[in-house]
Amino acid sequence: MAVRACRIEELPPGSRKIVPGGRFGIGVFNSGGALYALANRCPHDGAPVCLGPITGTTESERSYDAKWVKDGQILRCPWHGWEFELATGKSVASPPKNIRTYPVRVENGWVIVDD
Amino acid sequence: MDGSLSTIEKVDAAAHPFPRDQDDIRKYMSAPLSNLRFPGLDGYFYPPPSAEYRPDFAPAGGLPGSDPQLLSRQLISDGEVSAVVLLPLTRGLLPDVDMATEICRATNKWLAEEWLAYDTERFFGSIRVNPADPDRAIEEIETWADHPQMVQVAVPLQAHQPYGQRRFRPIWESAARHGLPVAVHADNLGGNEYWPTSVGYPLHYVEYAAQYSINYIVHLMSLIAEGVFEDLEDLVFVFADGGIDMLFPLIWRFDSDWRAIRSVTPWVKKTPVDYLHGHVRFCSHRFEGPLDAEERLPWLQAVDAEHLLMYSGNYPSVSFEGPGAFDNAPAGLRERVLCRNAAELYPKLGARIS
Amino acid sequence: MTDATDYLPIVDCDVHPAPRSAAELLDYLPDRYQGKVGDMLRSWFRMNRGTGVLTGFGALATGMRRDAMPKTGPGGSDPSLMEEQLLVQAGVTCAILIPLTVTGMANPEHEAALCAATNAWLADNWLGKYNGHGRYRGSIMVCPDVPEAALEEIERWSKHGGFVQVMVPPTVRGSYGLPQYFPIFEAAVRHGLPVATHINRTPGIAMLSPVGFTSYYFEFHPQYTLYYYPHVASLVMSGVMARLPDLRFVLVEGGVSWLAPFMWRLDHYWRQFGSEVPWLDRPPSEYVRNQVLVTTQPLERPNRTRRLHEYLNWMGSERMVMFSTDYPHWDYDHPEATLRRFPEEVRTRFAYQNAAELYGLAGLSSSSARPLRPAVAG
Repeated sequence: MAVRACRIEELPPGSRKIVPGGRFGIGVFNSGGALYALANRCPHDGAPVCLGPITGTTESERSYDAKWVKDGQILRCPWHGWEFELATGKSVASPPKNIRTYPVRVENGWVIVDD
Repeated sequence: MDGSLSTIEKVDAAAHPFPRDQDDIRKYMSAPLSNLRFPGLDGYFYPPPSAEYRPDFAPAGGLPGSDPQLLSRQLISDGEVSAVVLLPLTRGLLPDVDMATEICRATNKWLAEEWLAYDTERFFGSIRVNPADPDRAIEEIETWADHPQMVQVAVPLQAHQPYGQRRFRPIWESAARHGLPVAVHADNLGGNEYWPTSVGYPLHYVEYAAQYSINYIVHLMSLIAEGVFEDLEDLVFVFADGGIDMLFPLIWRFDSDWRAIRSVTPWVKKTPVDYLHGHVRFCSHRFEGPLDAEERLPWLQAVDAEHLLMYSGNYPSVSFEGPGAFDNAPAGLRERVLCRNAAELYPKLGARIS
Repeated sequence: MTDATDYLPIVDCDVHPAPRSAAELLDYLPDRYQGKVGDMLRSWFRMNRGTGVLTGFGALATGMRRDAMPKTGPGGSDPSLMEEQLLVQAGVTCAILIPLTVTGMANPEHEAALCAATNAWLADNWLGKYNGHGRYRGSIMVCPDVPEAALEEIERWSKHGGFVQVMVPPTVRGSYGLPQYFPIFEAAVRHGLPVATHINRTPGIAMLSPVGFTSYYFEFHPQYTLYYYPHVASLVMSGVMARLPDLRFVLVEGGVSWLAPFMWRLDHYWRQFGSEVPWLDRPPSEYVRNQVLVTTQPLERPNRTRRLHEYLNWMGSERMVMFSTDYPHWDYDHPEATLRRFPEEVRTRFAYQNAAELYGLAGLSSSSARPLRPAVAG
């Protein structure tokens, strides 16, 4: 089922909209021009994960080495800070606990999420 | 009773030898340090209300645990154990780093000459080092690593910094390089230790004794948090005072927080609980676990004794228990706790008994 | 639509309201502190740019759930937001409030002053103006190292009706079995109040473990337990529990399942070395089971929940455990995610009955005390 989220002009890069859809609502994001849609429910405790900050994360090769990577590509849950890749909904930490994602497209100027 | 009980070679993973006399190790020390006073082994901050050591474990005229022949008879001949890992104590966190190091050196020489030489097949030993003196700790490891009976490095439970912190790393790297686990065991309070609990000095001996060994958890969390286990694949820490009883309730808390705050310490790649099998072992202790015998087996299973626990008698303490404590465990679990876990952790020992 | 079977009353035993500003709090300083001490505290809060809470470790974000931050003021300072998020969305029926406005201070007089201000502020605001619905109860903050002031606070607020426990920090000048702390426990019992402890914000030496300072917040946070069990051991072994059989000691945010092995330890060591404490007339574990309670947040989460249940069974936890969220902190336990992890046979005890009995909360199972919306979220 297709959900009309908003007009594309209402979703400039760096912005998001939470729209009804699915069981918990859907967060639609524009990150640097690319559109993503994720279920608004954290797989941890059910928090409204799409309200969390978009940020980066860290990777490491040895103790005390922390590189800042994927800036603007990581969604952090507003409750317990779990990190997810915006594009795939995949958790950064293992074992994987992922957010459900939805296909999203633009049609006739509308942002459409396919539920 | 299962007739196959007697066919398992049993290992006692921690017995504590003492010098016959307080200052017996002095003859292994060099001047000028050998001329100075240092705390005796019976320097206690807390007077125990009753004996800490069993009098029947003392030879005439000596401290409990001070006679190799007596220990051998009590643990091996009468006690059915095939191999014993000897873990001597040192004198607490002495403020004079050189003195503490010299005591470690002398203890190692004493152990090798008066204990390991007594039984080259069944006695194994621990290399005492002073974590406050990393360079000379590494020298000491290098000196003894190839001794055929030295199976691990040993450090005090007491510390001024948790053992994961960076100043200690070179010591653990050296231990790992030589395939030696690191055993942690409390000395008596004789030096400049911090207060025994996070809220100060307990009033009573019974409180101090019941709680002190739990402090290993700070070292364990530190070793995980600072990436020591992540970086040193082969490193194993042995918490020889016990503590497996308190492990999972506290590690589970650590697991939740790791996942939330992972990005601060991205070198911790796994959930903390997943480091245990590869990097942590506990010695058993009689004063842990359910008092109800019926709950003992479910408890051993709950604490993953199969992978994490090694039987130790804790000789010559009043808490001593023989390997019979595991008689009612299923054969597989019993064999791992009484033998396999130690035999695999200490290859020199494993080769001797198989 | 509401369905009677969906409704489970919930008492949340750890909620943190906050003043909008330091000024709001310090306006409640009693007269005797308004002079030099009041000036010093005002100036100190200004220096610390806020409520003066100090901690050496950086918690997640600002320590708060990001979606629990009001438009102005710190987390927990907006009564409408708390009502909406806690009482409506989370379905909490009744919340026990524990302000964190009191910091461990070098001079206990200053800490006592902060306690007095906090209690008056709580009474006026969260147990007064913001408590029209009657669902909030509070804690009398005391500084045990100024005993006269502590006793005075207990006397003053125990009759109020809205305060249901005395709150003490775990970081005092010794463990709570020390004789100088006995009058506090005795006074609490005399007024029918449990004594609870919650980790305080302090810098430096109070955060020292017996083997040194941890490096990271995620090491320190699980180790709150290490600040609580020495007090449990002390209250048992010094005979305070024995002398005050009606004393109830609540450990907040310090974990649950550790009590099972800890009770065993106390029993083992007491059997061997208990001659030093002949005033105990039963094993330590019995005092603990009867007189110590714990709040659940942050609940231990083994991969298989059955493993947690094993420890709960070993504890004999039926009357010992009380649900909490720690709202509005980052490590908040949502009722929907947490209550189902309790064994079914004790779920109602943990969710509200143990707390209702401890804190004298009447009528929670009746429909007149329903939450503002059913507990099962859509």
